Amino acid sequence: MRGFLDFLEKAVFRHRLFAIISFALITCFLLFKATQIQLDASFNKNIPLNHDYMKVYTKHEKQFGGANSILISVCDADGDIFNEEFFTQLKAVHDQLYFIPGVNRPLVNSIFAPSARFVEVVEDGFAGGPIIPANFTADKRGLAVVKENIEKAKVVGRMIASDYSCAMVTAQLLETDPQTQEKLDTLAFAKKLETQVREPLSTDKVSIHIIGFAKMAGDVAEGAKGVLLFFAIAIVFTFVMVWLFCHSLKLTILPIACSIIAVIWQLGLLSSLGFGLDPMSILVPFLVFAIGVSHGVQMINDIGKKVCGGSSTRVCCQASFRALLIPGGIALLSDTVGFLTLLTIDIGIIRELAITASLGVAVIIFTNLILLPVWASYMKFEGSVRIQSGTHSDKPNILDNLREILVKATDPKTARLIIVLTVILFAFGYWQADKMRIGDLHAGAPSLHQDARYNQDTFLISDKYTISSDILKVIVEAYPAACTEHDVMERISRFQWQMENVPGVQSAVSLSSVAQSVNAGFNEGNLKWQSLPRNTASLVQSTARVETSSGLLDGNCSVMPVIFFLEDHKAETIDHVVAKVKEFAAKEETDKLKFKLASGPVGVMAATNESVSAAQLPMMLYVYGAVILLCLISFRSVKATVAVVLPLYIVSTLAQALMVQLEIGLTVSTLPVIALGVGIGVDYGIYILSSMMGQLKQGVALEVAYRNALVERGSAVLFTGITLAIGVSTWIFSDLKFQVDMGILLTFMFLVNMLGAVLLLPAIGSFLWTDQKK
Amino acid sequence: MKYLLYACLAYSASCFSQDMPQLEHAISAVNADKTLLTDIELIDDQLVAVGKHGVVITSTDAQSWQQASVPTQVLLTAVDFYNNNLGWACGHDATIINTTDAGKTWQLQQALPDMDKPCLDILFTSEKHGYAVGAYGMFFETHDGGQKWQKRFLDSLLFEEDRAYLNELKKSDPEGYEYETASILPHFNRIVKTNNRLILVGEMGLMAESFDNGGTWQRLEEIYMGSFFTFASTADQSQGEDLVAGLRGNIFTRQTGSEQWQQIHTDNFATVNSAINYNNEWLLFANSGVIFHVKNDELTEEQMDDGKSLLDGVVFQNKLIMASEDGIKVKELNP
Repeated sequence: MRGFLDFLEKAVFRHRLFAIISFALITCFLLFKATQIQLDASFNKNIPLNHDYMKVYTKHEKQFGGANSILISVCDADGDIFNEEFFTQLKAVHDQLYFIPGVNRPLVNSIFAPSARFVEVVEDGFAGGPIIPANFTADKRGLAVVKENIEKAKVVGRMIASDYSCAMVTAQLLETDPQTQEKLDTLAFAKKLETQVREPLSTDKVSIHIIGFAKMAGDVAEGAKGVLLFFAIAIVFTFVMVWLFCHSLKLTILPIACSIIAVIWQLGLLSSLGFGLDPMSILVPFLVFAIGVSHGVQMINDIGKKVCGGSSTRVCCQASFRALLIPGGIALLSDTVGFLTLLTIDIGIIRELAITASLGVAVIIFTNLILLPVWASYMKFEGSVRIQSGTHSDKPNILDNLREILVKATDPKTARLIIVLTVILFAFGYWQADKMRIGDLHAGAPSLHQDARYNQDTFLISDKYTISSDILKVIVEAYPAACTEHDVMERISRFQWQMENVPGVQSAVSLSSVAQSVNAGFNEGNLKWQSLPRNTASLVQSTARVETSSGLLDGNCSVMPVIFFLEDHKAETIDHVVAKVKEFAAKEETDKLKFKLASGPVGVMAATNESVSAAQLPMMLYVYGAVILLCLISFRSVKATVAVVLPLYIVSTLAQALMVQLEIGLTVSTLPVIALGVGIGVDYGIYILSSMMGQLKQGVALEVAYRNALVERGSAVLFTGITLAIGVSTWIFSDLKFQVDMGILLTFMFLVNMLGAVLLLPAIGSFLWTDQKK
Repeated sequence: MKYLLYACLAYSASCFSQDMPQLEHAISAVNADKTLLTDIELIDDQLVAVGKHGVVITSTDAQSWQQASVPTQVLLTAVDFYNNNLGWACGHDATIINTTDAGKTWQLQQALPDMDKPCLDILFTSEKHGYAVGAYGMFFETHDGGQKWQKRFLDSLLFEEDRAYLNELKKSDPEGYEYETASILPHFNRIVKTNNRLILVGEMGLMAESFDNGGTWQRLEEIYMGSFFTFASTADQSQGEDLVAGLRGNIFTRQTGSEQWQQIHTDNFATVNSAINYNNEWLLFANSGVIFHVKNDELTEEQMDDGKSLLDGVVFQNKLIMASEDGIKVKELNP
């Protein structure tokens, strides 16, 4: 290790100019690349494509459509849609949506769609036609006819609001354009929904409400742009704080600039590798900045103190480089490895985050542990540096007092108290964290505020219609012509009825239920016949009228989805409904008839929730495994490893408890936060302990070693924790609910991890290093 | 023992006799009052409604409904109580169930899935004597409270030429006779007792009456070629009136005793499912959420907002409690 350090030190500091120029060139190139990075969201990225449910989903996606749908509710201000203006606007919305690239055109649905037909019973059989007649004019007569047709077609609650105040246009999006083979640009599509549908077609009388994944991603991306402002605030704030810390403009610029360079490298590398930045991962660059600042401040703290000691700048910088490369490198390496473990989760967006974050943290090793000291070695600091370390002043200042308080943590009595308190806190945290829920806990889009337009539109639609976009499809896989057999259809009917009585299921539809209605239709519309005929000929007559475009059967009716409209997509609801499906399937499946989960947006969520839940434990094991392994290698001490990892584990448990308190569920977007938290927390402990280890190995008493460590690195630790915590706490004012939640969580993690390192670590230490001489 | 049971279930055909198949009980359903309900009765101060998935629900306040234990999952189409405790219901697969405890629990009396015909109405004129009628002239009669149901073929309701043809066939081809009789008669949609008569109405304008407790039946003169779904009468009142109604808003009334029917004109094509008389006014429950009011041969119509088809209704505590395709609907009665 020593030989490697010598080599590296010589290699870097003998070629200082070369190093600086290389860094400058790389930075310029990556800055150019970084400017090309795009926000990028895609539906498939959010899906665990290898999950069993998703195999069913992809298997039938072509036939029955995907889960990436858009719902547009067009509403009349006076609460009655039957007027000319409304119908003009509704038709315009339908047509406009139809022509936006990315829309699966045959599946665009509304009362203006060619498939929107009604059937009625007359004395001599059936009569039917399109809901909107070919010769439709929006006058009193025409509208009356349409109203009648709407009732006959039984689309109220689906295409028409239950109170006739709104009408729905729905569409499915294609992941790749069938003609150009181009990938769908979700955010551009979302923008078009605004510029080509909502803006031009809304009037005083007609309002337009849009929901669906693409719209939500678009709104999140819109809100995410506000992140830049918070980013800027945090940078300025950090700058001021660092200056107050070191009273040297030059030393202040160093960690800030190097951390910004780290972000540039990260974004540039991402862009070079062909990745975009997902709106949900937009916080990662800030985290990279934060972690960078944390290491940068350690470095300038060390350099500053050495300069104060009177050595030449270059010697100081070289010494600091040497002193901090190992602890800093270990901390950053364990972050990197920790984030890389997220790759094991088979969900595109988390893998992307793993790459984004690990890349970002890895480049900090270069920018803040190598570039920073080299750059600093060119500076002159005569007299300007006044790092408050206390050792040089005559009378004790606040820091000295604080330090003495902290040092008391090594006193066995105080240590015991701290440990007892921690155990109580941990027990509480563990009990709370155990209640951590998987998936979304609230209706609407949890990334957005409840009063955000998107969520308001979601509430409006779930209020006005009996259906929602929270659709779960259970695919009944049978054999060709299965729908001609009474037993099969009867089982489906029984399945549907059982499920309709599961709390959270609003309504359901299947080939079986439609066939029953058709059978009533064949019997003069007498609802007493709304049942499945046992006779094959009659059954065929009933199912044959249902077209494949209904999405309820395939060409030879060997596959028949049962579609469930759920009240919401809370984790609890999904869990419960999915469990009931499995329960029924276990009881009623035969060799040839399977009830397969799942398709539809909720089917996707169910798969995602299960993947996230399955990934949670291995991810934690890998992250901690990496931290433990690297600590063992660098400290060569089990005690030291325990002293670093234990506080880390306790804090991340408490953070999970906080998530429970904040009602944040474990989702694709929040799962990585747990890993990130470990990454943020590990720095403090490693810096403090690495300073102590040398002394402890020489037999210095714990109290003394800890006091020295605090003198050397403590103020930097305290400072970073507080600064970054305040910096992220401003996120509470963000437009994105997601960012607010993350702001609270990160503030907590920065602060409590810092406390863990300066209070709990020495307290634990007092039980581990008991045989040190005084 | 457990495995024996499983094996038994797997080969249920060999374990249970064919004519009385072991049926699955109706599942306990929170939404039992929100599924298709076909018939509702008020017995004393208790409401009983029947419907899809073997649902039978009871209530004493029309707000909270209790689901009864029912040994079938078929769509039940009619319910009739002879007194507060004794009731019968029937439905698809010619299923007939009965209760002796005011509708709390039900026992299976008959289920004939192989027949593939729904029973559409059931009527008891005494504790013992009952009728269950249904599709394609289905007619069952019991004299022992439903212990035994006898199938009858009402050949008096055949058209003359059909009767001759069947008589011929009965001798020459007994199998063919069975086959033909299974579907030659129209659907019997409703059986009603008024004063001394039984009235049967059904498909293709069928109206028939019997003055000997169903022993013999005579067709009434045809006044409409479509289906009738309901017949109601106030024959027990002075100046009694009969009403018959059915497909596409066809409604006819006559003075009891008169042969002369009068059509009540309406532009609304909603099919009438059933009718009751309340305060000298006919209330007719129809498809698409339509309620027709007929008083002194004047018709007014009322449209329920949700447009859900109404199958039956009763007046209870000054409210109209209706069985609809979407479950129970409650409506304040207009004064």
